[in-house]
Amino acid sequence: MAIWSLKDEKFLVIDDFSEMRAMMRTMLMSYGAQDIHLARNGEDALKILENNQFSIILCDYNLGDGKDGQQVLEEARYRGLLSASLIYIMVTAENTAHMVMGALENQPSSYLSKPINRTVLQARLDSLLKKRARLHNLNQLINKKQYQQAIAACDKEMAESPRYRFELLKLRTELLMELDDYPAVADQAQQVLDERDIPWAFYYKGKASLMLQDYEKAKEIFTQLIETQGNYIVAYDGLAEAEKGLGNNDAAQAVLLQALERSPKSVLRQRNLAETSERIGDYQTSEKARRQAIKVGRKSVLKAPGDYAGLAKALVKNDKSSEALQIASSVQKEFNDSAEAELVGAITTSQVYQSMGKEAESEAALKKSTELLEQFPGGAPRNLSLDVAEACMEHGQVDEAKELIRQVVTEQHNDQSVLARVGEIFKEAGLEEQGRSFIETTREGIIKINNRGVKMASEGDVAGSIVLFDEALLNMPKNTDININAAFAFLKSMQQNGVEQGLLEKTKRCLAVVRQAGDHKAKYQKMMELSQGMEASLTT
Amino acid sequence: MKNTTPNFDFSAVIANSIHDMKNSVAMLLSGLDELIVQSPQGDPPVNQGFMELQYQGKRVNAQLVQLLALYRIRNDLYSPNITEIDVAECLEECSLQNKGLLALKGISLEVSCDTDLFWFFDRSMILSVINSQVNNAFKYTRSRVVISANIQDGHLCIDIHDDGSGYPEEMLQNAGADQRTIDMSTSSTGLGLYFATLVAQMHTNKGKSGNISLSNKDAGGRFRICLP
Repeated sequence: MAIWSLKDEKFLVIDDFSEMRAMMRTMLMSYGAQDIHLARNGEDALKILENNQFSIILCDYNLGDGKDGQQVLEEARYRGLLSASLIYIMVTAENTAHMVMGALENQPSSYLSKPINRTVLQARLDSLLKKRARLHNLNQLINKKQYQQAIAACDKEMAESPRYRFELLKLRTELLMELDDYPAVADQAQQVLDERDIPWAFYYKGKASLMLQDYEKAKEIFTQLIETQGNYIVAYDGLAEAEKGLGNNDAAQAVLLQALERSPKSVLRQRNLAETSERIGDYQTSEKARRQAIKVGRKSVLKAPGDYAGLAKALVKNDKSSEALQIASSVQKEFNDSAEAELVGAITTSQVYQSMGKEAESEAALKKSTELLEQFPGGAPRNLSLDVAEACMEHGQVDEAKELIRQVVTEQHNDQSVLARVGEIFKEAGLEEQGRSFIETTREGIIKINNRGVKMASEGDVAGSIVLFDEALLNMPKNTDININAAFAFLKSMQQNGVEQGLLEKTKRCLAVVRQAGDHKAKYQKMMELSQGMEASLTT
Repeated sequence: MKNTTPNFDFSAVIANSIHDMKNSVAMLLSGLDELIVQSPQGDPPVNQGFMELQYQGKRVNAQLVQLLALYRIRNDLYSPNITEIDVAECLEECSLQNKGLLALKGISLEVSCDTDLFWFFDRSMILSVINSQVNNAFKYTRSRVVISANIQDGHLCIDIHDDGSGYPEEMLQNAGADQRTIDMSTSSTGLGLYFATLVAQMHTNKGKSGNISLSNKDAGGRFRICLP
């Protein structure tokens, strides 16, 4: 029998008690481990993860103040610091299961309960390492974000062996979610449910319904899931979304409050509560929720200037204007003078002064906002552009507002939430009709260009379509429809006339824009593969 | 003088105590393990002593674990965490935790389970149930305990089979029965079976739920838990 050894593994042990860290290290070393890093809390761990790759992480769920083990896992995943093959073992003090609090895609590889029994640790590691070896190819594909191929790899695994079948099915479902193929997600989930009442299958079926905007169905599924499996906190989030989709903002708020009672340390959920509360005019709740989001998110990558803006807004509504002003002026520093924070700070300051009736100060802050917006590196984020547009409207600067709106609509002409917000801004300014026709004209222009370009390419005038798209890209560089169709034209040209470096570069740039926005996932995957194939042929 | 403090939740106090005791007992058992490892082998009275200590320690631990779990279940603080489990690996873990003690008494512990068998259940709950039953076997087994698992009738059936003198008649009658008829005042076995029944029933799939049964089979007792 071969000696079982951990010598090739790279460990990170995270625990707030030094005796525990020492004990774990001793245990691991007794099994041959040589490369062991230690961290005493989430913040330290994340810093270490920024600069090191590990194969196995053992993390205590309870890490004192600051992030807990689940939050460390989620943030590390979110920031792309963990390989798909990483083994993450959560060490818990209870040997009863606790709540499935985090996102389903972010569950630990395994739980171990304290006190850690060395033979149990060995057996568990052995089992996890065997699984990792088995799923090696699949994990590599996931790391490279080659989701279609990863799905094929899943299917291959399942055909070869009954081991891990449902886990592979869950992974397959998650990969389909990544590809935004919601009908396929619903089908896959249903297939699983036909065999067994599995909570995650219910959850993804619900999510698919949400994404397909079938809110009644989603509501039904999530309600049932909560009843039968009360520890799936994400089911509450799903239900809240369904209620929002049905226009029941009060019900959504109630659901979020319930979820937060059980799992308060979620920045996203607190933020969701704040936004939902704002929608129903409950600024008392939104003030509390924003404070929580800020507190919990303090050292998290999920921290966002929007929470400060939201808090300032709630404070103004709750007659706490001077505190609101303080918050507005603190944003910039909280985010190390980032361009976004500076802009948010300026807009918020302008809005607070406006509510205090201080016109001159408000206009000055607005002027600063507009300047910052113009100078924003890489072009301003659209929601901030709209915030400034809204503020301009409030100050009667209609032309400035319209120009900003035009730019946003040009880049996001199909985004319903953007169009809805723009509609609101015009309505608030008493220009509802004007707004509607303005949006329509702007959209029509883009749709026409797109359609013409696509038609030309498919009817054989590839060169002509390229000319058209080149110009369109100059005018609306971030429009994902233009970018994906341009990429299509470039690829078609290269298929006909041979691969050419310049066109290939343009294709890659376009695809990068689409990838960044997360749109057109299926098309993106296909074109990415084509483009990679062409690139390979250049070097052979 | 009566304690008339309003809203005094004694059961919560008990639960906290149990939690504390459970941790202490775990430390005790851990320390005992160390002693056994360090002590010279083959000294019969000492071995006997250690055996008894371990057996009793594990009994206490099992009961505390079960009480705590029952408290949580009864107070709606617990939802089963049903995940896909490698059954063979789970049974191996149980074997690892119990073989040493059983070996001290000359009892062999075997696991018989297809390595490709995967099923859905709450791993920690089921492990508690099996551990507790295997530990009981310490007193009643002659020489051999076999833990096995296979699929029957769409259920996963996990058996713990000893070669002792089998279960007494009253237990065979009452096992698997409604919780109200289980007499918990007799012995810890009552609690163990009650717990096992509750855990089995917590596992449902498509309208079917789990159950336990006791039988005397092939000279010896067989505890069986079936999960849909």
